[in-house]
Amino acid sequence: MLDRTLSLPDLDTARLEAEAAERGALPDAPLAMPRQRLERTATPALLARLRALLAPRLDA
Amino acid sequence: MSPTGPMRARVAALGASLALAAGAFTLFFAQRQTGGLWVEFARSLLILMATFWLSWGAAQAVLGLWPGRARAPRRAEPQGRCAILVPVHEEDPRATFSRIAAMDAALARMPQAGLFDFAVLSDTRSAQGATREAAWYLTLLRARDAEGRIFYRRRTSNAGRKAGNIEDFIKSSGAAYEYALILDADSLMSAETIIEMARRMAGEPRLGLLQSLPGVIRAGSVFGRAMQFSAALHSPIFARGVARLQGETGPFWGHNAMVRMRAFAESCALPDLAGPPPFGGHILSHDYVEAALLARAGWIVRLDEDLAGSYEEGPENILAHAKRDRRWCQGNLQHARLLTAPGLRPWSRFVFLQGILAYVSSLFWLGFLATTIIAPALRVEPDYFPLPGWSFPVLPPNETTRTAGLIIGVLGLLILPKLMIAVQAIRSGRAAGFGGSVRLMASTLAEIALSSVTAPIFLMFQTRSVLQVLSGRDGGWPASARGEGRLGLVESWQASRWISVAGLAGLAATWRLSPELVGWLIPVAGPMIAAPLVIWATSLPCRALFAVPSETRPDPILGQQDEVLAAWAPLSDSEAAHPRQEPQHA
Repeated sequence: MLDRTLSLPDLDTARLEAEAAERGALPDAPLAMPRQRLERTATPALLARLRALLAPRLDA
Repeated sequence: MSPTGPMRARVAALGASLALAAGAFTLFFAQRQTGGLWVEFARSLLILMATFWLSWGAAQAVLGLWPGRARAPRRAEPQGRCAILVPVHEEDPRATFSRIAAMDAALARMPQAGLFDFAVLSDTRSAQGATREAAWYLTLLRARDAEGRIFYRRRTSNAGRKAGNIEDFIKSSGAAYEYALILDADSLMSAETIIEMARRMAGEPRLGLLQSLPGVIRAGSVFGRAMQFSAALHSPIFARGVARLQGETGPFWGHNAMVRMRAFAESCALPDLAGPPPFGGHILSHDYVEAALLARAGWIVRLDEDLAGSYEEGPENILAHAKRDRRWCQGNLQHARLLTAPGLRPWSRFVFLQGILAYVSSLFWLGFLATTIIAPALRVEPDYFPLPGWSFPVLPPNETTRTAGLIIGVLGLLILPKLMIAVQAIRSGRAAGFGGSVRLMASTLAEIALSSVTAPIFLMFQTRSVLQVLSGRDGGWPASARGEGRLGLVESWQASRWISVAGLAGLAATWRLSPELVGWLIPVAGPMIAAPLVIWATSLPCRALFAVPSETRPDPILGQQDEVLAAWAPLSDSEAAHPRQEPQHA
């Protein structure tokens, strides 16, 4: 199954990593991932409604 | 099960758990004559919560043992391509890439081989780790002649950790694939199982995520092998119970699961939570949340516990387990922020709550023990004739009797399911994989004894984790501890002496305040005092007990990985890290 005479390439570290990055490059096929909402934004909305409710009374 | 099946199972399991919890509450509160009212109420409440949690676990086992076969899953020949994703973070690349080589070789023999690519997604930051990965990746490419089929990408930023790593892949390459099989660095799966999962995904277009049940393999220590045995014998039954409870709102455990790329991309880009860690920032236990988000978007999330040929490696000692547990604890407690997240299925919220309870229950137990010890010190003068005109004395409840009742109940909830599973394994013929009926029973009893000894130690580690998280301490993102787990006595002592001190202090307090309970506290305080010894002893190698099917009837994929490791043995790590040295040849 495997080549038993494996050897590591005689390259310096930067070239080794560059070669791995080049030969390992992922397919270029982007897919959108819309960010999900997990926290309720009710508090700011509730405060805005309260402000709208109270403002006319305070102004009066 | 029918569509109403999960609902019936939930009602039954919840009902039974609540009834048992109420029973424990009544045992301690109905005759509240031992201590002050508030202490009695507090400890009755604590025992209610703790008993509920134990009963919930036992109910899952009973559900798993309940007769009845699941409907055969729909299957179709997969047409779309599948990316097998291997996220790594400061892992041993030789071991990780040997698994990839084995899986690739196994897939190459299948007619569907052309549908599968591998992508190693590295979050490794250390310079040495990056160099070793690069070296071993090129070795893997040459060994498997896999350029354009096995990819390797290292991120310069670790944003979002593992979930961000996978998100980064999907954003750059997700459109090339119909499915993704998400693995961990220590995952190993047979080609047959991978293809079967793709068939099940193809056969059910609404299936967004299919989780397999990974078995633990290659354990060598007493602790590791006991965990491996428990995972092989008990986990399939508990998982069947979980599957029956969860139905189409199933779990995701972060690895050894296949996702539909489009579903995952549409639903699972996680936001950072407002505020700093541990409760804000990046979502640590992302898998539970991703499962909930898929269900929220209408996709089926399913656990198929019948899928064999799915493996992972486990922690080899108690300290490695506690380290992993610290991470999980923080992730689960962070889910408190998501209990009210908009649009989630009620069951997903319950799963979050369950994950929180799994850790907070340690506080309940410790609180119960503490209040039980101090209750007699707050004892009120008993009223022997509380009823006017009644000439016979009413004796106050005997604390020892109640404690004995509680211990019997707890042991029943913890031990009975394990014994029932062992008997079922013997009756069904499953015992053969565990070395036969006698060896299975011996291993079961040894596992029960070992888990009884280690339980108080884990109670203390979990309590410390919960308190650390609640006090705002972030555990960070440590690399996973894998492989050889043998510990020294000094190391064990340094990591657990605080548990010994706590055990001694608890025993001394009991001796002073409630001497009649000293004998009953020994099973808890004894292992705590001996924690360093227990941790050291359970990290030692063990071969005599805990045989499992992956040893008695090993899956060929394990042998395949052994072959790869043998072929790579002549190449040392230092050669991989310092490629200027002359390589050795086999």
